[in-house]
Formats: sequence, structure tokens, C-alpha cells
Amino acid sequence: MFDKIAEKEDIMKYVVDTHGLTKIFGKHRAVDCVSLHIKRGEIYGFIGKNGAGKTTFMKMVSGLSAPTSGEIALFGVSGREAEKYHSRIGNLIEQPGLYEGMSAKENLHLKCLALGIHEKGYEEKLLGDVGLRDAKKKKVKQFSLGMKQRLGIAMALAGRPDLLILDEPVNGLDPQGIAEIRDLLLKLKFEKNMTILISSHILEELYKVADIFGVIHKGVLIQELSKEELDQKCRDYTEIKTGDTEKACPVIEELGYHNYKVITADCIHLYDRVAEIGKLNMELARQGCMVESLQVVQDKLEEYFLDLTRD
Amino acid sequence: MLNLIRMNLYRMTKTKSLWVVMLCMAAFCIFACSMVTIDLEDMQKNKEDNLSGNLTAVYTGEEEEAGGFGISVQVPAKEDGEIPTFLEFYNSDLASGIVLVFLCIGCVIYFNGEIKSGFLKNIAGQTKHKPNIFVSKIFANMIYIIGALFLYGIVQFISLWFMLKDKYNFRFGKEYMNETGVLLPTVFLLYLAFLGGISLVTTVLKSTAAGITLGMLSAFGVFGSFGAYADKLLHANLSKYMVISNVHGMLVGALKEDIFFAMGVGALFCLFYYLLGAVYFTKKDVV
Repeated sequence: MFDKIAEKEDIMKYVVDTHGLTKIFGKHRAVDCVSLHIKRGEIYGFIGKNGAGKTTFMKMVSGLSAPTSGEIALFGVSGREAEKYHSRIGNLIEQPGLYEGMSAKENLHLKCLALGIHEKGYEEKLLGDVGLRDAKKKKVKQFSLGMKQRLGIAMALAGRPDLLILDEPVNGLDPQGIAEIRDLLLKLKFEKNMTILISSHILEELYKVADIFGVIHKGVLIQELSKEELDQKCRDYTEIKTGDTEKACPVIEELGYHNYKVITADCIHLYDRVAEIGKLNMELARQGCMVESLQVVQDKLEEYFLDLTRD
Repeated sequence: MLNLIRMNLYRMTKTKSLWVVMLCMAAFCIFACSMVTIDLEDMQKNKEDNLSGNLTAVYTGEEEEAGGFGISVQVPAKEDGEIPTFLEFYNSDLASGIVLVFLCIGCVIYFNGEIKSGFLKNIAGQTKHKPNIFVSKIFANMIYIIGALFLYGIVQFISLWFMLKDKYNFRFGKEYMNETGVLLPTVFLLYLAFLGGISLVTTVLKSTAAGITLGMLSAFGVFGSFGAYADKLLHANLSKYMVISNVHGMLVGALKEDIFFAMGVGALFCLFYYLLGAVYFTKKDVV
């Protein structure tokens, strides 16, 4: 019985919980058996190349597209019942869907009308949150790409959703705009405990906001890792190129380096004490190990994901 | 549902192209009324040639339309040579399908606007019953039709009065009020069914060009010609069941049976198109 209660509590903490989610277009498997879990209040960074299946997955979770197979549980509820919770999901998928001939406020007002929101000043507040208060009367066709993105985010926020799905939300934004959106997302997470599923090609930016990362490639979720795990994988290391790794390893051990990896017969990666590169060099030379090169390597986030999704 | 209706009505007021289409329709109406004087002069000539003629009005428009296609906005012909009243002009124009052409253009622009702009993505997920998105548009179509019928009537009345007041005894045609009271709801229902079909086609094909072309061809009665082939082939009168054929028949003097039959056709097609649209919305992904 306690097991069952624990299991239920475990399910309830997941805002999105998919099992074997698959979407097939003709013969193409756009999303292939994706099982993904997003906890309440978490920012989930979704990473993948163009056409990897991110948008299709997001559409299925938003209720814009029906899965070919698999199951989606939303807010701890699965099956037909989960469909009721689509109303608690705000989304910005692909380009913002806006009427170019209408103003920002009118576009937002349309969405508010559809959701039955008749609160006075609500639209202005939302526009203020995304930095568009001064442009509320301006026609969308006069907006820059960045302004449209901001309005798209405001539209997604209409109705105070519990889950926000943002597909490339910082596309076309200037650095200041990116920083503002980042701050807004963090504010939503910390102040309103909002759960956010976000995809972006700007990985460094995604890294700054997301708690957990999912890498999708050719429709398959190939890796899911927390920020800590990512830090581990992408941290700086010392690369030693030596003609004799067998001789070098005991010296390294003797110096107190235990977290290292022999990559090839002439290459070793040390993951600890990267600042002590000079001391290491001297010691290796003193012990008679010929060092061909010694350098601190910064394994960038981008390189890590490129390696991961390389065909 | 009520929220979606509100949203649609608000959007209608803000969609400039709908107003432009309405203005074009009004301009066409003014033009058509200006041409009426030429026809009336011919009618006056006939009156002089046929002084001993029967006083009963005979309408030939319907017979002329049968089997052919295209739209002809004609002056309702009267054998006695008297000039037709406003209500006769009005009903004749509504039956010609010219208003339907303008409505069709507006309807396609309105429906495709939502799909093309991507706005649908903003609301489709959060709407509890997706079919309501399509069904709520029936109200948009209703308001648009009512607006068009009203505007066309006003503009036509003022234009005709202005053109004819000096030369002819132009009358409103109170005697046709009751008849118009039955004809107008029937025309409304048929128009609603027609726009339902056009809305569905536009939603499925997601193309303004395809929607307008199909709508215009239907309003011009091109599919009626295909219906004639089907009639020959199946030895049945399929044309009778087409929305547009029934629209063409809704003239002053139409038989009660025909009017009720047209009402039935309109109601049936309304139900069919809007239900099909609702089902399509349930099954199809929003892209």
C-alpha cells in the first residue's frame, strides 16, 4: 500500500511524463519512443538539431498534434483525462502566431477572449512583463523579429499556465532581449513555480536557465542529464601528450591525481586541479617522463552536444 | 464556446479585409442600381407595345438560369411593364448569388487568416473542445451574412430611390413583406450552408486561392453544370439538392414547397459541413 502511495506521489511530481511517445509522418518517425519526465517547477532544456523532433514532441505535449503511439501524462493524469490539462499549458511553438494587421494589445486581447479572461489591465501587465508596454498600440507588421518573439511569449503566458512550452523563444532577440527573457523565465520559475520546457539553439543560453537537459537526435531521446552531470561532462581538463603513458600514470597517481583517463596510448586527460599545470609539468619532467604537450582544454557545451549528435 | 464566439466577433471587427469586401459589395450594388435605368427604359418600351397586357407579374429569371452558369443581376421582368418594387429587386439580387460571391471572398480570407498567421496554435491546445474552434465560426459566418444582407439592402434601397425617384414611381413593395419574411431566412440558411462548405474547403486545403476559386465557381453555378451531367447519368435530379440551385430559386413568387425544400437543403448542408469541420478539427494536427 505504501509503495502505491509513494508511486502516486512520484507521478504527481511530474508535470510531463511521456512513455514511448511516437509520431510517424508517412514512413518518417519524427519522434521515436520518447520517454521523458519533467518535474514540477523545473526548467527542461530540449536540445537537438533542426528536424530532430523537438517541435513535434512539443506539439504533442501541447495538444496540437496527436501521437501515433505512446502515452502522455500531464500533471499526474494520463489518457483522455490528460487532455483536460492542455488548458494549463501555454506555448510558443515555431514562429509566434500573430495577426500582422493588429496591434500587440489586440492580438493579446484575442487570446484572452478565447480563454475567457476579462481582467482589466491584464494585457498591459503581460506586455510589460515581456518589455512591450510601450509598443502595445503598434501594429505587429511593424515589429522586429525580436519584438514578435516577445509578444509570442506574452501570448503563451496568457491564462497563467502551469507549464510553459517554448520552442526557440530567443530566436532573433538581441543580447539584451535574451538576457531579459532569461530573467523572465527564472522569475517565473522561482516566483510562480512554473514548469518550463524550452528548446534553443543557443546552448550557452539554455545552460544558464535549464535544470535538466534532454538531447534528441533523429526522433530519439539519446541522453537526459542534470546540470551537475553536464558540468561534469563539460568541465575543463588538462591534456597531457606524452610518448609513454605507462610511465606517466604512476607519477600522476603519486601527485594525488585520481580522476584521470587514458584516452589513447599517448594522451591522458586529468580532470582535477587544472590550475596546477606548471607544477605537474615540472614533476613529470623531474621523473623523466617526456611531455610533448601540456594544455588546459575547455570542453565547450556546444562541442559536447555536437559529439553526441554526430552521425 | 462563448469565449471563442466572442473572440471571433472581436476579430471580425478588426479584420480590415472583411470591411473592404463589404465596401466592394456596396460599390457593386451602387453600380448595378445605376444600370437598372437602362433596363427600365426597355421595360417602358414593352409597356407601350403591350398596353392590353396581363397585370400579373411573370418572372423569367429562374428559367434563364437553368442549365447555364454565371451570375446575372437582372431587373425582375414584369409583363405589365410596371417597374418592380424594392423588395423584388432585393430578392432578385440575393437569388442571383452576387452577394454570395462577396461573402465567399470574405469568408475565405477570414478563415485562412487564422491558419496562415499561425494564431490557431495559440488557442488550439488550450481550448477544451477543439471542434468548438470550427463550430464557433458558424456565428462569425452568421454575423457576416446578416451584415452583408443588411448592407446590401440599405445601399440598394438608397441607390434605387436616388436613381428612379424623378422618372418612376419607385415603391418599397409592402405587399411582398410577408413573402420576403420567408425568403430571407431561407436565403440566410442557404448562404450559411454555402459558407460552411467554403470554410471547410479552406480549412482543409489551407489555401486562399483554392478557397476563393472553388467558392466563385460554385456561386457561378459551374458545379450545377456538373450536376446536370450527373442527372443524366443517374437519371435523377441531383441539381435540385444543390445549395446554389436553391439559392437561384429564391425569387418573389417562388412556390412555398420550393422554399421549404430549400430550407431543408440549407439546414442539412449546414449540419453536414459544420459537423465535418468539427470532426476534421478533432482529428487533424494543428500545424
